[in-house]
This record gives sequence, C-alpha cells and structure tokens, in this order.
Amino acid sequence: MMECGTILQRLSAYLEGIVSSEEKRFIEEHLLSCQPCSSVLRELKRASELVRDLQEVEPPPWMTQKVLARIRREQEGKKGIFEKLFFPLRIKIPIQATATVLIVVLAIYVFKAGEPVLKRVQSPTARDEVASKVEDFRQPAAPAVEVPAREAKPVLKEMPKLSDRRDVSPPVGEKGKEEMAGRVREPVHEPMREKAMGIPEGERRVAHERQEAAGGKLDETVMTLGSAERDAAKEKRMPAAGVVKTEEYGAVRDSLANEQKAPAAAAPLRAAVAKRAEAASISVQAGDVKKVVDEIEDLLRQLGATRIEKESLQDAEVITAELQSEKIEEFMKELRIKGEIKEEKLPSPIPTGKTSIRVEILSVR
Amino acid sequence: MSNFVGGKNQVIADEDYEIVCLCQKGDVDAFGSLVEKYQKKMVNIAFRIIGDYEAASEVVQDAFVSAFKAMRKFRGDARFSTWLYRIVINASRNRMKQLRTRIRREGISIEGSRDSEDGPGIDPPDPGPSVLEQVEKREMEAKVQACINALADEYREVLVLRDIQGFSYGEISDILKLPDGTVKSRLFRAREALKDGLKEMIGDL
Repeated sequence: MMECGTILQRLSAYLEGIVSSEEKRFIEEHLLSCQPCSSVLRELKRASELVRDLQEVEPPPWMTQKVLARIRREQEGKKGIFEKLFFPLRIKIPIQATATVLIVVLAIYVFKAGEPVLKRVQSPTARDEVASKVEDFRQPAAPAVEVPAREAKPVLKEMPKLSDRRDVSPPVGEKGKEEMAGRVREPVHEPMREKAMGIPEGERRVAHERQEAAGGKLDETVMTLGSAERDAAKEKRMPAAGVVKTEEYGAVRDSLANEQKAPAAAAPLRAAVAKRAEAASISVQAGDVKKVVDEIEDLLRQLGATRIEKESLQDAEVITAELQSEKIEEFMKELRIKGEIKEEKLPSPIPTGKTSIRVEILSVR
Repeated sequence: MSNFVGGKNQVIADEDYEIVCLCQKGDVDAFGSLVEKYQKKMVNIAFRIIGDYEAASEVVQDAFVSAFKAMRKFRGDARFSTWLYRIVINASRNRMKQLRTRIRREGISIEGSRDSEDGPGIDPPDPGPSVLEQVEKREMEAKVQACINALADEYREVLVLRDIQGFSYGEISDILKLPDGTVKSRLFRAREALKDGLKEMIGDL
C-alpha cells in the first residue's frame, strides 16, 4: 500500500510524461500488478480528456469596443477631475484680472467723483465773473444806484462778515450817512437785496420796480424770484456762519446755474438798467420821521406823483414814487425845507417823462 | 524571481513590446489591438475559473481596463501576456469571492446557478454529431465545469491554466508567481480532486 500511495502521487506526472525513465518503468511495473492504481490512472486520463474536451468560448463581440470606450471615458473623466482639481487655479487668473480692472475703475470713479468738489471750490471765481458781468451792465448806466463792485461779489465771500458788516461796515455808497447816524442798518440791506436779485433780476424788476424800495415786501419779491436769487437773498439774512456754510454750496450751485443763464438774461438786463437810469435816490434826516414821511407823501401827491409806496425799515422809512421829471426840482426844493438832505443822487441831466424817486427818511439820533 | 522556472532574469523577448510601448504613451487604439489579440484567451480563462460567461465577460472587460491604466507600471520583467493573464486571474478570483459571499448570503446553490452556463459565445458544435449527442456533450461539459467550480481556488487556477489553456509550467509559475514545484503539486492535487468530483457526479469514468 505504501507503494500504491507513492505511485498515485506520481500518476499525474506519469500521464504528462514528465517523469524520469526509471520512475516511468517503476510505475508501469506497479500498474500491471495493481488493479486499483490502474483504475485511478484510467479515471485520471478520462478526467483530463473531459477537461481538455471543454469547448472554448468566444469573447463577446463588443469586448474590444467596450473596453476602449471605457478607457476613453475614464480618460476624459480623469481629465475632468484634473481640471476640477485645478479649477481654482484656473479661475484665479480671471479673478485677479477682474479685481485689477475693478480697482482701476474704482480709482477712476473716485477721482472723477472728487472733481466736482474741486469745481465747487473754484466756483466762487465763476460766480465772481457772473456777478461782475451784471455789474458791467449796471454800473455805467446807473450811477445813481451806487452798488459797489465789492458788494456784487459772491455771497460766499461776504457771508462770514455779514453780521459784522450790518453794524460796522456799511456799503461804500452809504458811508456818509453812517458817519452821521452811527448805526445804519438799512442801507446795508438795500445793496444786499440788489445783489440778491442776481441776473434775472432785471427782467423781474420791471414788474416789481415799485416794490424795490419797500423793504417789508422783500419776501414777496424774493418769492417771485428764481430759486437762485431766493437762496441768495435768504443767505444774506442769515448771520449764522454755520448755516451760511451749508448754504454756500447752494449758492455756488446757483452761481453755476446763473452762469448759464447769464447770456440769455443779458438783453432784458440792458432794458432794466436803462429804466433804472432814471431813478433818483435821496436820503433825508429828520427829527420826527413819521411826520416827515407823511409830509413827503402829501408833497408827492400834490406834485402828481404816482405809485407812491411806503416801506418801514428798522432805522428808516422809505418812500418810492414815480414823479414827472419837471416836478423833481420842485420836489427837491420842498424837501430841503422839511429836513436835512443827507445825500442826493439825481440823474443828470434829468430825463423827460416819469422818474422813479426813492426817499429814505432817517431819524436823527 | 530567480527561483522561477526558466531563469527569468534574462531579458524576455516579448512579441507585444512595440504595441505595449505605444500603449504606455497612451495610445488607446494600440491597446485595442492587444484586446483583440488576447480577449479570447482571457475570456476562456475567466469563464473556466468563474463558471459564468456573463460574469467572465465583465471580469475580462474590467481586467483590460485595469491593464491599460496600469500599463505604465508594466516594466517588462515578464511577457505582457503573462502580466495580462495574471490580471485576469486576480480579477476572476475576486469575482469568485464576491459570488460566494452573495450565494452564501442569499442561500442559492452554486450548482443551480451554473446549470445554465455556456453562454452565447460557445463555438458552434460540429455539424457531424446528432442533436442528442450535442445535448449530451453540453450536459457533460456543464458537469465538468461544475466539478471545476467545486475545486479550491488554487487548484482550479492551475488546472485551468495547465489542462484547459495548455500553459507551460514556467508560464503558470510566472502568471501565478508561484514556484514550479508548487504549481505541479497543486496541479496533481487538482486533477485528483477533479477526478473524484467527476466520479461522484457522473458515476463511472
């Protein structure tokens, strides 16, 4: 049996023919004498035959296509993953570029936004120009209405001094009066208001000529003016420096607007200036202002003056009227009797027709 | 490596060398020619190890894709075909493990699931034998396959490679990375086990 065990282990090799010739002879001798081992050999041969007889299978026809398709798909997928992994790197460049462009645009915007501020700072000059233009029109033709060039300067520059000026430094044109009266507020008001009228003032003045002298009606007049003038007028009354400062921008803005209006306003302005050339302005000092005012009013009526209007100001009474030029001489004569004429501005030569007369009656203090 | 049959330290002449080089450079079409060349052998190895044609086809497909992916790792210390067969055997082994796990879990008998093997890819039988003979042959093949399937993995692999595919011991050693003696001893035991299985199934051999 020991022999059989060894033989059985070698049978497979024997079948394959991979045993030495000596071993082969030994096995063959044993098989001739051992039936069970011969049976096993027969069975092994049969089993090997059966296995060898197994038919080969054909691979599925799609094998190559499927394999290659999968490889290509996975390669693309791999590429996709690769791209996704480096997507941030790829997007970084556009982000940086966008950021740079954004910063540049922002910087330009900020710079541009800063420009208007610079213009505002410069704008008083522009306003000066406009104001001086107005003065150019006014001054030569209306010497009677002495509006100093300094007065016509932008509100901006005057405002900080406004409160002081009301008490201390009246306009140049009123200086003589100030010397006598000590404190003269009203004359300050007058040229200021004239300034407030601004450029389009000329047009409107035709309609509101009579109101001009009446300080009490200033608001009403102002209301009829353009917003620019109104703003300017308000500013003149505002002594508070803080408020003035805020208004400055409005004034500046308006001055810019006026700049545009200026050429259009030029024509009516000339007409207004011509009209104003006829105006006569007289300042009278009297002990009893009210009495003198009544007397002057009566006098004007007697002389046939029209559109007689009275305005009460803080320190003075103002009477405006339209009087026939021939009657002016007579009026002046009568006036001198009633009180001391402090200042007298008459158009020379006195034009024919009706002349506007403005009489200020100041009390003697 | 030196203990492998055939003294594999020497440079191996590989008929697929040039195509393999192309594949390593990413040439998919070149790899296609290799698929064409080896698919039949691959499918047959897988089919006999796994015992299921569809599963074997899938396994071979996976094996080819894996092979292409791993192409750069192929250093030429064995023939490309050897390397490829190793891949398909490993893939088949893994599939068998999965199948066994599933069968154990679902309680399906291995035999039952393998009665309907021999898929569509079977070579058309010779016109000579009668229909009855064909049926008998198929039944016998199924039984043989069932017996092969019943073998332990290590026996089955060597049996398939040697007795069905006809690889040399040296090749089998290379494919399975096993010493020559181990291959032989495994093969002899595998044959013994198969004979016993067939005897049990068929009766007289």
